[in-house]
Amino acid sequence: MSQRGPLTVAFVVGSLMIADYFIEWAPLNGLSAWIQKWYIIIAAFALVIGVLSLVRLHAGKIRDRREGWPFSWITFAGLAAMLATGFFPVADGTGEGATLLWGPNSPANKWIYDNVQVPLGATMFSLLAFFIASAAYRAFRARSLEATMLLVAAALVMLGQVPVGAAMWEQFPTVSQWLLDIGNLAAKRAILIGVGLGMASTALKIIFGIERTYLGGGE
Amino acid sequence: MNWARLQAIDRRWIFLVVFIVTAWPLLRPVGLPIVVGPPTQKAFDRIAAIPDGSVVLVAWDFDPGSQAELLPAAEAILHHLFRKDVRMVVMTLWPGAPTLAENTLDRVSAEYGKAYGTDWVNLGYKPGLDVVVKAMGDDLHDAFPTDMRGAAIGSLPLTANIHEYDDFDLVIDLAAGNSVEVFVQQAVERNDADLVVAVTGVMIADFYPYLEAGQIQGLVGALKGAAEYEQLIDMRAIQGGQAGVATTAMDSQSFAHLAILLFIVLGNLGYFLAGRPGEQSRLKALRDDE
Repeated sequence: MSQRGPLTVAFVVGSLMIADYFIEWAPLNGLSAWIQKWYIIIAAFALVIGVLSLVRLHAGKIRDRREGWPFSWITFAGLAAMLATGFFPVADGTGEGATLLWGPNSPANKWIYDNVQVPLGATMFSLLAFFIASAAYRAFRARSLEATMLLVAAALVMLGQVPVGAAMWEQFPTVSQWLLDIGNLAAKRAILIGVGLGMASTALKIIFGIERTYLGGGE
Repeated sequence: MNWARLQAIDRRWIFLVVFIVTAWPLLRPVGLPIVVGPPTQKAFDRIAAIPDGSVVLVAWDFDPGSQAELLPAAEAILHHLFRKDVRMVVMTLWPGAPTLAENTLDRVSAEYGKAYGTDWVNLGYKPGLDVVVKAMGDDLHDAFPTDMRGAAIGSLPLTANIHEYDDFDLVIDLAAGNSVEVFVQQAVERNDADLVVAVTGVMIADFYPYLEAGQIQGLVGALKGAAEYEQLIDMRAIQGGQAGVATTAMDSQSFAHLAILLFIVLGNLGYFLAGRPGEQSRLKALRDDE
């Protein structure tokens, strides 16, 4: 009984969205557009829930003194700093000449973004280069014919995608491009079609109430 | 050579080698020539075909985590667009992106004397991914009633009469995530928009089917694609003789690729020559790494 409501909503809204795609009828299209606006609003609330979930997680770590709990204080400090400087717009006056003191794009908020978030984000991503090199040394092994083919193809593409490859042999970029245009394209196309069919199948199962895992607690 | 022991080498030595081969070319540039590939050439040709003074939609879908790969491509494309007096409406589907877009556009637009509100507008971030992209096709003013600075977009000269994808000559997606598929599904297939994308290195291979099918008119792939684009727009001339960021980084990337290939060869040599003791050392090192 408790599942009937959500299943009915899923069926009605899902059917509406499919019908909206194929049928040009103003009342239907208008209703669909109205529902999609509500989707954007609900998605925005999901951000709020994400923040609350983060706070709850780290508050628990601090309370229970779990491993790494001091870093949870740093998380809270960063969250508080960005909220304090960027949440409420406060200006020193009104009209065009007013200067934004606090709020989104205020000098303080931008300073934290430019000098903390940008370098930290770039640094975290750049660590990948080192771990990829380490993984390449430790784990990439030509154990079988397929693994050997993969390694050879990877080597050819890696050399073809950087200027040093063309400097070593002018055909490396051509070979690399052929691998991407032919072999890679064929495989990716097959995967895309398979994924697309799978997504359509899963969507229909959700609409018709066959797939209910999104309700929680199993089928 | 003790291949078994080499299999278990401390990974910090590997990190050190990567650091050296990446940092050294930045201090002592080699200047390896850059060969422009067909996907980047197609992107350049499509953007070059935009009539001067037209309006394009730029989806800025990457944040500081991906800026090393995508910011050079974004800047090169912005230079190309501003040089052609093409006006831009910028939006993003990533929450961490609006400020990065604003900072970059402030800087690049100032070089060409372009004004906010007339030559470019930043609509900011909106959650909802494909619903937002579809909503922009229904009415941009409904999807983004205000810009990032809080002004109603109907009051801005650039966006006052922009309502749907037909009002844009081209959509450009600078993507570090799954926004490209969303724009293909909602903007290209439902609204006949033209789409050019710039993506990170790990994503390049995913979009060749779209490029081949004509759903994407051009593909700028990661730092290499950005370097190719800088060459096509003659970034040296724009920057007074100084090479672009991506072009400068190509030497580092070249030697990093060679280093990784050398590691793979050494690792496999050790695998075949060290036998079982080597394999045991390698597996132990893998567990220790974790």
